[in-house]
Amino acid sequence: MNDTNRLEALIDRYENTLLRAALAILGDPYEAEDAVQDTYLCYLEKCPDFRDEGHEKAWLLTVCANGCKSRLRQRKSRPTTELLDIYPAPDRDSGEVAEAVLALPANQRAAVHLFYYEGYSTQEIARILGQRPGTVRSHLSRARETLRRELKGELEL
Amino acid sequence: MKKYNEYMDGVTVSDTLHEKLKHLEAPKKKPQTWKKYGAMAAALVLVLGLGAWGVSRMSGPELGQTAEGPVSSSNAIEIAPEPVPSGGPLTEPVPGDPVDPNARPTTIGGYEVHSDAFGGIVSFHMLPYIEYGQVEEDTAASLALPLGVYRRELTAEEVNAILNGENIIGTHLDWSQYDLGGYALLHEDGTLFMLVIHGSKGNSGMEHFVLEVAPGHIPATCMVYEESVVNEINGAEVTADGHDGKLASTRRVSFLYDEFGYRFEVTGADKEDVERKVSRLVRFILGGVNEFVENGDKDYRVTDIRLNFSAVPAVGMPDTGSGTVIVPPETLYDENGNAYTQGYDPSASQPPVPEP
Repeated sequence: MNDTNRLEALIDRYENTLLRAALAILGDPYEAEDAVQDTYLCYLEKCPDFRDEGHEKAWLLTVCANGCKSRLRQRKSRPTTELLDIYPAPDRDSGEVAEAVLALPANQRAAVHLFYYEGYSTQEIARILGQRPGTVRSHLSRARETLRRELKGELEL
Repeated sequence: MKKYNEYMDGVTVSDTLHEKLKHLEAPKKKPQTWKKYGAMAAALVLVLGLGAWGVSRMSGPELGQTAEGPVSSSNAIEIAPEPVPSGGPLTEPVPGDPVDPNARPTTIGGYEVHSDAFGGIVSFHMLPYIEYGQVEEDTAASLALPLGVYRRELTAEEVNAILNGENIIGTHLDWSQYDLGGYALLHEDGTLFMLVIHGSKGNSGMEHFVLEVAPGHIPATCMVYEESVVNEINGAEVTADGHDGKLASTRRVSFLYDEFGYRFEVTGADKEDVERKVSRLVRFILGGVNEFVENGDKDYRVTDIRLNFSAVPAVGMPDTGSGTVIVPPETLYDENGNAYTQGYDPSASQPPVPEP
């Protein structure tokens, strides 16, 4: 498979994964799209060899997460674009939960997304985010407390 | 998180973004220093026998030969290709791994290679790879110095002596472009509380470093970082973290080694250079530098060079409780090739030192 075909295969396989992760971390749809582009640009620059699909996905998510963190550090103000305006929820309940998650601090949002949506362990999340496993567990624990409080137990998380 | 997952399942890339991704082009690559040597670099072979942290200078004889003649195949190291990551999806980082894809020393077969001031090629054993936690939030803690601690500025000569001279400063630490300074924080009895060496370069205020050393503990700091990563390097636990700003990147490490605690922080515009400087300092402290010097009388001197604490202002050495003053031992060889070690211990009687 040549480089162009490889890139297209990676785009088809992971573009949604990366967009969802970037949205979870950044909370801004336009910045998230830029972060996805930057991730694939990094892939084109580094041309890493992947040993399997798991490594492939983890590599891309890590690069994406690093890019998102850089953007967060450079951000001067909170995003003004409402995420749910661009990506509306299928129903009211999922919209409420998504809003509650997106209102969490970025570190907690990232941990929540990678744990609950992508199904990574805290050890794996620590590697992706460049944090200690204990830190990831702490973020998850605080996120759960906040979500329980905000959603007042009305919705099953 | 069923409802959250349902929401995310509905988020998909638009056709516009999909087309943009398909038409992305690889950015142009910058040439790396060692690639200028082309076939020379590819044919580089290194002679064993200089120790784990040795320096090999290849500027004199032709590449592939030592002063005595061609390198034999039994002790030559051929250039190896970059290792392919192995193991599960999220195992320990190797070059190319995603944890920090932008930070890697310039290496050939595990050796860092670059040109020296005389147009030759100098190679070092590979710089240690350090994983850094990315800091987003700082927590300030209060810093209290012990009562009676006072500060004494170091002269340029003292800083130079502590670092063991220009060769270490320039070649091994890559600090030659910095204006160096330092001070010692001393207890009332003159023993060392903390040593600080700092450097800065340029007018931007963005290029600087600080090295803090304290006997028996990691130097006190007023900042606490939650996102640090602990690396194991040469048996020592090295805690590392960093921050990438718009104009500059900062990398910090702290560790305990050989009854001293170290903290080193570098800030600079070039993130890769910043990380290399940290790795150089870590290699120097944890591995030392072996210098092999031959004089006209065939008297060989192999010295394990580390920080020279005896050059700290003459007010005494740190007392670690054992009653022994700590000075790096110097290994000397007599004309018969017999090694002997000269260490300094003012509390014990010294054996006579053989004449070289």
